[in-house]
Amino acid sequence: MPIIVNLDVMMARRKISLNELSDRVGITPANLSILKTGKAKAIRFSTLEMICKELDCQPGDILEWVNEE
Amino acid sequence: MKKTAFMKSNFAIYILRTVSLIVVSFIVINIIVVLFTITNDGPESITSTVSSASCNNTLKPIDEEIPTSLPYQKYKSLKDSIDHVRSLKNGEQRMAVFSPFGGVLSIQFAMNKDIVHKSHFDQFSIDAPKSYFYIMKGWKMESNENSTWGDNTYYVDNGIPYIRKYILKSTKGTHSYWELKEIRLNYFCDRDDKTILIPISKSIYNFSKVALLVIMFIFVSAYLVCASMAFKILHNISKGKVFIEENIRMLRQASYITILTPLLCVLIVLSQRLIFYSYFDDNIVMDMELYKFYAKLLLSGLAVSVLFSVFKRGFNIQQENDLVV
Repeated sequence: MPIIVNLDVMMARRKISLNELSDRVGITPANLSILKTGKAKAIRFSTLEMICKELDCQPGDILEWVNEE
Repeated sequence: MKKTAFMKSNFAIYILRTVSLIVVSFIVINIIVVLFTITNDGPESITSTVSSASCNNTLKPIDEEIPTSLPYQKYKSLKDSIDHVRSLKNGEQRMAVFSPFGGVLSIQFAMNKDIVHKSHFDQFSIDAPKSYFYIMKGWKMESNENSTWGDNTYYVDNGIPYIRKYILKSTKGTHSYWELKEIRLNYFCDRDDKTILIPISKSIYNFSKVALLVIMFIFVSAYLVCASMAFKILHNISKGKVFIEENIRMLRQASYITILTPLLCVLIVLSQRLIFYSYFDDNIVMDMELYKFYAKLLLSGLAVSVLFSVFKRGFNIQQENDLVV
């Protein structure tokens, strides 16, 4: 997928664990893991909003488009 | 979109190839059968009823005629006796093995010498030799019930099959007349459903009996497997597991079974037209009842196939939905 999820980078910068973030955002650790490993097909605006709020960042810090060609 | 594992499997490709091969063979055989049927339609197949035509019947009656002047009780007992003799002459069915597209059976025909007196009826089953036949399903003796002069009469005399039918003859002038003709057949006919019986040897009969039993076993087990899969799917749905890979796999297998089986049966039934080509004459017609039965099976197969497509789509949507965070 040309969209790269940089959630792990942001989590490392903020020094926050997966379980803690999932607790704060209000989604299961399994779903957050799907997003972190790049298996997710889509992300809800509400989830993105909560993640950005908790990590104090912009959506562009989490999602990145890479030209595969 | 990423393809799911079951779509990629070699099995699916193999089945698709088989289905396409069967469909193509089905169309080719159908065309051949239709062509042969058209070329066999001679002038004798004209069945237009000419109300002004006269009837020419110079043949002897098949069975002994009873004078109507006899007292009723005597007439009735004599008639029953003659009917019984006729049924023995036409053949007593002994053993039969059926499959969805054909079968084999053995028949004992009473020869004239076997039935001299009514007391010999009991001895008949022991004395009369057995003849063996292949039941050619999907084809039957032509019925002529709407004819002005009566139905075609099939009968066996001394183990030889005959048919008596009215044929429209026209003279040089405008006058035309119906003539009762007796035609010797090289095949026999089932007395109930008029299915065509092809004579076979005892060794072929014994071999076919076992082969047909095995085919019947496979056919019945395939449908039992379908039924068990249906119960398993219902059980899964009741547990809340609707769009899961197991359900889709079972629906795919059930749709293959329920579509391929009637197609294969029709293919075999139509192939009989070519295999037993030498036996066919214009007295044999297609038995549409059997094709209606196959059509029902095929429709159920298509319904399962539609269900399979719906579940497959549901499975993809479910998977996508599961991966939405």
